[in-house]
Amino acid sequence: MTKGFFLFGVLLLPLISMGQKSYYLGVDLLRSFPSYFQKGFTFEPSFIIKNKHDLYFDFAVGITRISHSSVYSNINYRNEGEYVRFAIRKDVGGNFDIGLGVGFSSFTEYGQVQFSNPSFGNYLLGLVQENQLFFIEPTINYKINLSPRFQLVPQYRVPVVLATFDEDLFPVYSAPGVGDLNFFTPKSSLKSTSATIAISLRLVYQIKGN
Amino acid sequence: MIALGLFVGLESCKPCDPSLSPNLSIVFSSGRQYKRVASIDPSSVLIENNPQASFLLPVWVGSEKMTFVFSNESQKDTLTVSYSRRFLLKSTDCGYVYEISKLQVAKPTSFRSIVFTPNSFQLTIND
Repeated sequence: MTKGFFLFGVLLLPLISMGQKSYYLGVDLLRSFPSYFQKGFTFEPSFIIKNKHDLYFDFAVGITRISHSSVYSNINYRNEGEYVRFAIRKDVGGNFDIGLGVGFSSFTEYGQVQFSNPSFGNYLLGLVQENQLFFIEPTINYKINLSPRFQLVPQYRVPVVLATFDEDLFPVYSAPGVGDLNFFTPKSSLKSTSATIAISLRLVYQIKGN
Repeated sequence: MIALGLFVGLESCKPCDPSLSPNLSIVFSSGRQYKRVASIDPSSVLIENNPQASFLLPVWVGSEKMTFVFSNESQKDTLTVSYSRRFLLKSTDCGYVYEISKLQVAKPTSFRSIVFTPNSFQLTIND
């Protein structure tokens, strides 16, 4: 799989180097701050190259440190991980572009379950599971021009995890870079789903080019 | 010592309450009464100044072995039980639960004649 990614990168080089280029730096805003749903943060800076054929080569790395007070009914949950993403996007007009991305995520999920007993007190059960997975994701992006160099880019993604990623202790709750994998899971199920939906909001700054 | 080695599957909750602990039922068939019952590790006084010949005692999920000390004015006896624990996610809706199984009488135990009632998590002590 790693060799495949390397070969993929080598094959892309002629595409990236074609023609006049613009360069952008971006950062995801939506996942950078704690929310109603989770504490912690995801920091995702990105570097984007656009060639004269309106093709974007979109590189992103991310680091995630999030926690939920309760998942799967009674698990105090923490997720720490990193990921890389690469996408090719193409302008389709009207400030929209569409793309296809690939990524790799490596993360550790920590769960803590508390069993209470009136005679003996609480017993805390610690759960730890590590995971690495590849994913692909079609994306739709919409560019809102804030100024000549700043753009706000809402992004809609449908990440699909490749290969099996089930764990023994509890279903993978979320994968950094992918999103929550319990989104379509029935409450009676003990498996995560391979596909999910995700939304990003990036602030992008053009550092060079037209 | 009677090694029971029998299987009792007892979920901590039915259908969905992981905070409930399974209880161990102890019956003294001779009618002998103990007024105090305490557990060792975890240390806790479970019954105090309440003479009885049968007890419903909680099982601690934090270990796989528990010792109970039964006492009255003239006598002090010890019962140790071992068991297996299994933790599992029952469902995403119910969350994590535990099961206690493979209950056995272990050392130190001062009773000599103990009968295990399958499927009820009950020990009858005939001493």
